[in-house]
Amino acid sequence: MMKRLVSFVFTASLVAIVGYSAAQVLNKKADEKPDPRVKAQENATKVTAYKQKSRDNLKPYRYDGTNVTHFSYSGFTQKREIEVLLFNGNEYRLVFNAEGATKPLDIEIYDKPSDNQGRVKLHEVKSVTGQENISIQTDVLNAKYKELKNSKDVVLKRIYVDYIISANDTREPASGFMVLTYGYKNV
Amino acid sequence: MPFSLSPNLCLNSLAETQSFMKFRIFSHFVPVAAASCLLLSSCGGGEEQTTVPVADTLEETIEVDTMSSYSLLPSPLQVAMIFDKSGMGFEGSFTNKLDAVSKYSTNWEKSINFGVYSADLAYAVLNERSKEAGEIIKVVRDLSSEIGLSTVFDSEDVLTRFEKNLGNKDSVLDILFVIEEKTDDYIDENGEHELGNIMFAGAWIEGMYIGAQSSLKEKKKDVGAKLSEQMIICTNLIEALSMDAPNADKDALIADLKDLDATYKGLGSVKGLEGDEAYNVNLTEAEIKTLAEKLIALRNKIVKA
Repeated sequence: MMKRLVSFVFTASLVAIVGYSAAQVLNKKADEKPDPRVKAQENATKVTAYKQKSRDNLKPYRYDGTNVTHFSYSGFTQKREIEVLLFNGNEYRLVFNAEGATKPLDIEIYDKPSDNQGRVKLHEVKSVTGQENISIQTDVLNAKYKELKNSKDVVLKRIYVDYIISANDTREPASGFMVLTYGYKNV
Repeated sequence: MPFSLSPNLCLNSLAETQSFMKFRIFSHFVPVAAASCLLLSSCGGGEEQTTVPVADTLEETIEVDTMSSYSLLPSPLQVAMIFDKSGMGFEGSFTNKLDAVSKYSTNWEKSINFGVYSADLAYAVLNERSKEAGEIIKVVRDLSSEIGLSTVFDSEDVLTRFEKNLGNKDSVLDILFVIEEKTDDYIDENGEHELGNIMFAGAWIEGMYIGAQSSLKEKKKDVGAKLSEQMIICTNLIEALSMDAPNADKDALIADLKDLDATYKGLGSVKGLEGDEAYNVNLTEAEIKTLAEKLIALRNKIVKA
């Protein structure tokens, strides 16, 4: 009887110790997991800071707008496309801030949208992640366009910026964002 | 140290409260659950775990997120600057009357006319009309607080700086750019893209109206080419407005913009042209008049003239 009691107490103690240890591990993991509201607030702060940096890098061009593209890295490579209109032969500057891109992505600029088979690539920047300032002016894009079209008379009236977002190769969910600020030369 | 609170237990924020609650739940629930699992597994019958390698199951494909394929609308200030480049003079009667603001009672009317007055403000500043600009910005500020954009003018500093620099075009323009940035930030941070589209519609229509009126009055050929170039925005604006939630005012505006777009595409010089070529046309005087009539009617409807 005594032997059985000792055995029961021993087993119960063992179970309690294992359970407590498991609880400690899980609690630690739960604490490590960022709270979504805190994460959202942190993200908002980052977006504001990176927007400001890209606006500073836009100078001396005149501010026209900012676009923030948010994305979640999925199991697939994704593409996001932004159309930018160019007016009156003005020269524009596009400033990308990739500090919010936690995994690499490519920036590609075309003369036509992705559903147009005949579009031409005017510029690309590969494996962008973390950079504070990637700038491109439309005079460079127009020069390339004239060269590719073999004509001095053609002028870009709009461009298409594609973000090619790499697939997430881990099981951990990941998200990011790109900031694009654009402006025109003071007229 | 006799006693100290662990930083983890200082509940300074809701997040920390949540974290603390998780700790409590895990502390009580997990040992019991673990013990149960241990007892059950000791009885046998455990299932074999299978793992599927993630990389092997995924194919490398490009997925186009169509919801994120969109156009960026230009700022109202850029639209005003483009027309200003044609050398249009200032004509006070082209701007919306300041006392008309009392006619705007709904949020829609206030939002779209915020855009109208913003375009008038840019027109006055670019033409160095200090008195008019000083009056219009007050209307813009008042409307901004009524449509939730009060943060743009939250400190009187913006208005004071504007008034102090009224004689200096470059300084006043710099302040307008700050207002534009703040407006964009408010729209972005609060997910108010619908409001942004309505305001832009008002500003664009007013800019086109001023351009058309100037063209009719001063017969500047250059303005016809600029009106043609700006019509590219009409299609993008219709698309942007169509993505927003349905509403009678918005639907009526979309119908009017579609009518304007059809009128433009039906003009002799434009008909048959495709793509960007259709927006690179030197409109004839008669064509400018046809387009101007549509623009004037649309603008007067918006401002309740």
